Formats: sequence, structure tokens, C-alpha cells
Amino acid sequence: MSHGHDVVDTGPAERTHGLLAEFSTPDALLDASRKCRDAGFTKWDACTPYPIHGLEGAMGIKMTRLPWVVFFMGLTGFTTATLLQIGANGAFGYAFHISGKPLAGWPSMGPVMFELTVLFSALTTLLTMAVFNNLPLFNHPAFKVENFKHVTSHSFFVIVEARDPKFTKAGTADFLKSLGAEKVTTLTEPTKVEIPKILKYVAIIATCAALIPPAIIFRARNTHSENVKIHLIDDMDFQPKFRAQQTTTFFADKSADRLAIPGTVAQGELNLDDHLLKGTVGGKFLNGFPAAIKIDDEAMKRGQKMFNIYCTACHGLAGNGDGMVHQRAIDIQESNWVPPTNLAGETTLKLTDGEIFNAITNGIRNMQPYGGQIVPEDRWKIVLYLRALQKAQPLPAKTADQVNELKGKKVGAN
Amino acid sequence: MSTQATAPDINERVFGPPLVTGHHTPKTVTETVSVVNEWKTPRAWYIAFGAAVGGLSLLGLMIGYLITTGVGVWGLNQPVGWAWDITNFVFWVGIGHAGTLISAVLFLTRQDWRTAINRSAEAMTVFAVICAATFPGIHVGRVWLAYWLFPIPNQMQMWPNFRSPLLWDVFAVSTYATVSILFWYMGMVPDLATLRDRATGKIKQFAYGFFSLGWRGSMRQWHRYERAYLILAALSTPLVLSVHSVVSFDFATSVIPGWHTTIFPPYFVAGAIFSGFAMVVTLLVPARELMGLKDFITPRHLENMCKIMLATGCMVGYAYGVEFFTAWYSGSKYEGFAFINRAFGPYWWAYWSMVTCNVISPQLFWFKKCRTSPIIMWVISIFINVGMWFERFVIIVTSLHRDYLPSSWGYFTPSIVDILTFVGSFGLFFTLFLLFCRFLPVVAMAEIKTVLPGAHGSHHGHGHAPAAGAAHTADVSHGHGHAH
Repeated sequence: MSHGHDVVDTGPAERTHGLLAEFSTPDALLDASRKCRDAGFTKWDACTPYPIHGLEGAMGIKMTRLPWVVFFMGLTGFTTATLLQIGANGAFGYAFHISGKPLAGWPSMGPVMFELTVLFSALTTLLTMAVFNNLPLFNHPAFKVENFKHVTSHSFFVIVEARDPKFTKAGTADFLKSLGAEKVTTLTEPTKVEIPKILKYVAIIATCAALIPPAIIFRARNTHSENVKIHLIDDMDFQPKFRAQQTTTFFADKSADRLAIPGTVAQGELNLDDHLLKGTVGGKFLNGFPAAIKIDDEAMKRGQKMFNIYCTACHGLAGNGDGMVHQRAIDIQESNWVPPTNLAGETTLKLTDGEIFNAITNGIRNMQPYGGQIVPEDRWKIVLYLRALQKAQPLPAKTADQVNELKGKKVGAN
Repeated sequence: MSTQATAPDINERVFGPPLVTGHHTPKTVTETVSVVNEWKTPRAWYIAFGAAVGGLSLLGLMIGYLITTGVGVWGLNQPVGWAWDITNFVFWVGIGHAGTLISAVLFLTRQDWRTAINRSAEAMTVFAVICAATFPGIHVGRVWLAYWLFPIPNQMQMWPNFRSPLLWDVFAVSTYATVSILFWYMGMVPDLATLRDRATGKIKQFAYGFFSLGWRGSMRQWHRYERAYLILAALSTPLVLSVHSVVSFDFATSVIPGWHTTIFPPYFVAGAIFSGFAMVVTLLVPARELMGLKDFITPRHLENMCKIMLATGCMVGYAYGVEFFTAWYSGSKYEGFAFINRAFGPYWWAYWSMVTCNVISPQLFWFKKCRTSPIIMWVISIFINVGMWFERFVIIVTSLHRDYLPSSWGYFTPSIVDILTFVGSFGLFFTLFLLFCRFLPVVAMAEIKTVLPGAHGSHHGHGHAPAAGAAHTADVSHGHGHAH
């Protein structure tokens, strides 16, 4: 940086900042600069309306370190983008699972990585340029010189500062004149303006006050609260819509619900097959299975699976009404327990296939309806399996004796 | 010294006509440019500004009506969910490409002729991006929740979806806007200092003084300044190519026939440069006349811009052709239908308007007469602006109006609010541009001074000088050797 302000203002006397020499052509400036450089001056500068190429060499300016600052801030931008995306896509936010895409897939992170690298680098470039150049600086001593206004238009200047070890007011002025300067002016340090004390207090109070909102946010984010979260814009909480069963003045019947227009049928709900869906043929429950159910080994296995899932809890694996729920009720001596029906008993044996299907679908006595849980096809397959279970029951004792008798006779006869 | 007589001819033959005509010195450059900000405001400016502010008010009214009523005031509806809103967004973003291209890409490739036009082109870029950013902002439905586009920590622990091209778009456009403003502002600092030093009124002195940061032209500052400018140019070059690529991802990463193509990023970038240069020509041809800048914005500058429009116009023409080829070669009947329908379906008029304006009209630039006649190039530039708007309309609306299910097919017709919002966006653009012309340095004075003859001293190598040592007087070097 070319200007420092380490010269302490010791008194009311104006301190010399340095000397300002004016040149009219770039050639003269280049020549003067080379000579200043060679004379061993270090705290000096050339001011020009536009960058003169070759002047950097003539002045002996070293390459700025600005690109390195930009490079590291670019890396910071890249890292920020990476962490932000990994974090926001799941690590510290709500994980959005969309179309089975990986939460932190590199290809989709590319654009934001690039943009933040460029953004950080660009902001750093401008800020570093300003900081390294000691800008903004509105009170440079040269601004007091009337002719210096032409520096941004067409004039060329050399400034040699008083803090240069080689500087002597008379000697340096002569030196600058010998370089062909058209005019040499003495620059005086700007008088220091004291900041009013009241401003200092205001600044301290404002700084403290500025810390209050972040403190509140920090506390809110790190403590538990029973209150509803605050939404600055609450139209997600209070949506202009009607829920079921609400009233409205918009419709004549004052109901927000709209019933289906009479006679309309929803997609896939025409339901013309009474036998399959209700178990009736011509309004009566009959024996026999609907045409849509194909009776085979597969249907039997499906029926067994569904029966074991839905029916065995009460009716038992063999359908005798001794399921786990029943046994538990007996164990705890449940006083008003109605035992499940023995599906292999007289009552059920007398029922038609349609009546059993209807019992599963709509429930019977204190059995709940299963129409909502089991599709019609599966209910028919349960009926099929139940019929098989009934046939597979052990025979009543009396009949068994008769069979043994018959068996014995047969054996004896042999 | 016999070479002295022929040197200008050799220079002209090798390097083209001079970058600055007339006999200019740094002082006259300052005066010619600054006077644009210093003369009494002409009546024509007030008339133009009044019209522009009228357009801006219209935009404000339309946006107010939209916000208070809902997006139903626009003509879009299923299946055309994006229509003029996104068309206008892409149109304005595209225009906003020329400025940074001129500033950055032409800077890196050492095209010295950029110095005269970069300032106004950058201003145009910034204003076009502001117009562009308006449209995605207001098309989201609940405008008051548009801040959800940005990753702001919130009490819901909800973040934007970083795998969505729409989010990439937010980052790309906002980064581009920021970097464009930085680049524009940084380039202006020395010129603002010039205006500060010439200003007579207190307000002007304060305002120009404040924004020029106390710039005093120190060579030690210039050194870092030029390095910083070079870095910004190097950063902006991939950025300008990335912005429209990311905008094209909004379409290309979807599965809509007509959008789902890998050619989109380069095709969009070429189109953006094309439309951007057209807008620069539209603005600068009258501006150089009105503001007396003919010595800096010379026929050579205009001709170069025409050549770029010709090249990029051919590129977009090629892209239109390749789209058809790809649709046929893919073997997908949906792709094939989308493109046949584009050219011969209900929106045939939009498609052929686009082809006429974008592919056929720039072919006139093969003729030198058209490249050098300001009137002809101005008319063609208007055609290109119109054509590029139609290109975006064609891509967006014709791809959407034919859904996979024929029962969902529709036809988009704009509402009056659609039309007036678009007209209003021009009001915003011209309001900003007219303010720029009135109050900010319209040409980069400090940069122009570096390309003047003898700007870098008589001993400084000019690189191109045919007879070194002999042709180094101010009269013969045309300042081509300005190498950064």
C-alpha cells in the first residue's frame, strides 16, 4: 500500500505530506519514474488518467498478491457449496427423497459449486482490490491541489512522500524539477478531525443493540418451547379452503361437501356382478361359487393363506372356534365373552356358500365385517377353504365306533 | 524515414481502421464523453423518459393486479403451465449476455474494439437481468413466498431441492447479476472519478465522489486494479457461458418432447449472444448519433457486431436444423411429432416468424453494405430481437400444448395482462437505461485513452508497428498495441 498514516500529528503546525510534481506527457512521466526508481526513492507514486503500460516496470512495482487471495476465497466458495448441498439435502435438513435420486449426487451438485466459486471469487476480487489499494480514501492531500483534478482526465503526476528516507523538502523539489516537472507543489497532511464523543456512545449502544436479535435467535434455536412455531406468513396454517362437514354460504344447502351427482358411477365401481360382490343370485343366497372364481389348487392355497391371516385369531386353525383370542378370554375368565362360532359345527354346515360369503363381507352377530379388508375374490377363496376344513374335521365319536365296527367286520371277514 | 508515409496504410490493411476516429487526445476524450452527463437535459430525453416511466408504471400495475388476484389473470393454464412469463424471462436473460461477453470474453481475447461499447453493453446486461429476474419472481403464485427459492435457514428445517435445475437457475442468475454489477461498477470507478473532478454542483460532487471511492489514478492502484479486472474477466467468461446453459437445463433435464435434448446448452448460449448483440446494436446505433459518440463507436465497431450476429445467427439456424435431425434420428414418435407439429401445427406462424427473423434476416450481413449501414443493421437488429422472443415462445409453448394424452391438448392465448406485463418490462429496461445515459459515464473513458495513439509513451512497444523505431510518432500509431 502506497500510503500509510503513521505520521503522528504533533501540533497545530501543518505537516508536510510530500511533494506533487506535474508532467504533461506520458513520456515525461515514464522518464521521471525511471529516475525516481533509480534514485532509490521508495515511498512515492505516479498518478495517471489511465494505466500506462511500461510504467509498472519504470516504477519497479512488484506483482500484487491479489490473485492468491481470490484463489483461496474461490476454494472457500467451492467448499461452502459442497457442504451446503450435502447438508441441505439431508445432513442437517429435512431429507427430500425425490425420484430415487441420491441425496448427495455429485453431478447435480456441479452447477451450484461452480456458481458459488465464481461468486465468492468475484466479491473477493473487488473487496481485495479496494483493501489493498487503501480505498475508499476521500481525504488524500493531493485532492486539495486544484490541478490534481486533471489527473482523471489528462495530466500526469508524481508524488514523493515526506516519510521516504531520502526525502528532503528542498532537495527533492529540485530533483523533481530537474526531471522536467512543470510544477512542484507541497502537499500538507489533512488535519485530523476529532470524532464527537456523543457519536462514540451512540456507536457503542448501537453495536450492543445489534447483538440482541442474534442472541434471541440463538436462544430460540437451542431451547425447547411448547409454543406453535412462528410463520411470518401464515397462509400455510390458515388456508382458504373448506374441510369435510363444514358449512358454507356459497351453496344453497349450506354444506361445503358436494355429493356425487345422482346416477354417476366412479371409475371401476360399476359393480354389476351381484354373485361375486354380494353372494346373491337373484337376491337369494345360494350354494355354489361365482363364475369369476376359478376353483383349483392355487385358489385353495390362497384361501388357506387368507383364512390363516384373518380368521384364525378367533376361529382357530381348524375352524373350531378355539383361536388365541378365545383361549385368552377363557384364561382371564372374561365374564361376558361370547365364544366364536365353531365353523365345523351344525350352524355353519347348514349355511349356503352365499351366506358364509355375506357373513365375512358384512359381519354377523358380534363378528366385524371384513369386506373392507379382503377383496371379494379372496373372500370366496376363504369360503372354499372353509368348506375343505369342514370336510376334514374328525368324525363324531358315535360314527367313529360304527366305522371301527365296520372296519372290524371287514377285517374279520377277511 | 520513408516508412512514415506508408505506415498508416499498412496499419489499416493489417489491423483494420483505427479504433478512435478524429484527432483525439485524453483531454478531448474526457470532454466528449463527460459532456453527455453535463449538458442541459435535452427535451428528447424527458419525452423518452416519460414514456419509459409510463411503461414502468404499467408493469407495476400489472404485477399488483397479478399479486392481488392470482396467476389466473394470465392466459396460461394446463397443459401450457409456462408461457409468456418464462418466455420473457429467457428473452431478457438472453439479452443480458452481450454485456459480459463483450467485457470479459472480448477482453481475454484482446479485442480492443470492445473498449468503446463495453460500458453501455454492461449497463444493458444489468438492466436486462433485472427485467429477467422479475418474471420468475412473479410467476410463482404466492409471490410473498418467493424467498423460499433461496437457501435461508428457517424454523421448518426445510431447504430448497438442490437437485432441481430450477434451483441451479436461481444460483446462476443471481450470481450472474451480482458479478455483472461488480464488473460494471469496478470498470466505472475511474470514470466516476473523472465526473467527480469535473462536477460543479455539491450533490454531484458528493455522489460521484462517494461512488468513485476517492480514486486518484495512482499507478500502484492501477496495477492492482488491472489485475483485479483481468481476474473478473476470467471469472465472468465461464460464467456467461454457464448462465444460459443452466437456463437451458430447466428444459433439457425434463422429459417433454421438444425440451429433452442435449444440444440445448450450446444452442441457448449462441442464441443469447445473438440476441444480446442485436439489443446492443438497437441501443447504440441511435445512442451514438444522439450523444455525439461517433468518434468512439465507429463503423468498425458496428461492423464487428454485425459479423458476430451473422455468426451466431448461423449457429442458431444450424441448431434449428439439428433439432429436426435428432428428432427423426431418435426414432421416438413423440419427438418426431413435437417437431413436425412445431413447424406445421397450430403454432406454425410463430415457428416461421422465428426462422424468418433469426435465420434469414441476418444473412443480409454477408453484404458489406448491410454491415456498414446503420439504418439497415438497426432494422435487422429489431428483427432479431423479435425473432429471439419467438424462439423462446416456440420452445416453451409448442412443446407444452401437445401433451402425451390427446384429451389434454390445449392452445395458449395470451391475456391482456400477459401483453401489458411484457410491454411494461420494456418500460423498466428503458427507464434504467435512460437514467444510465443521463448520470453515468456511457463510454469507458480511461479505457479509450489507452487505445489512443501514443498513450503509452513513444518508447513503449506497440507490438504491431511494421517498422519499429520509424513508425512511432503519434500520427501513425493507431493504438492497436494496447495489450493488457
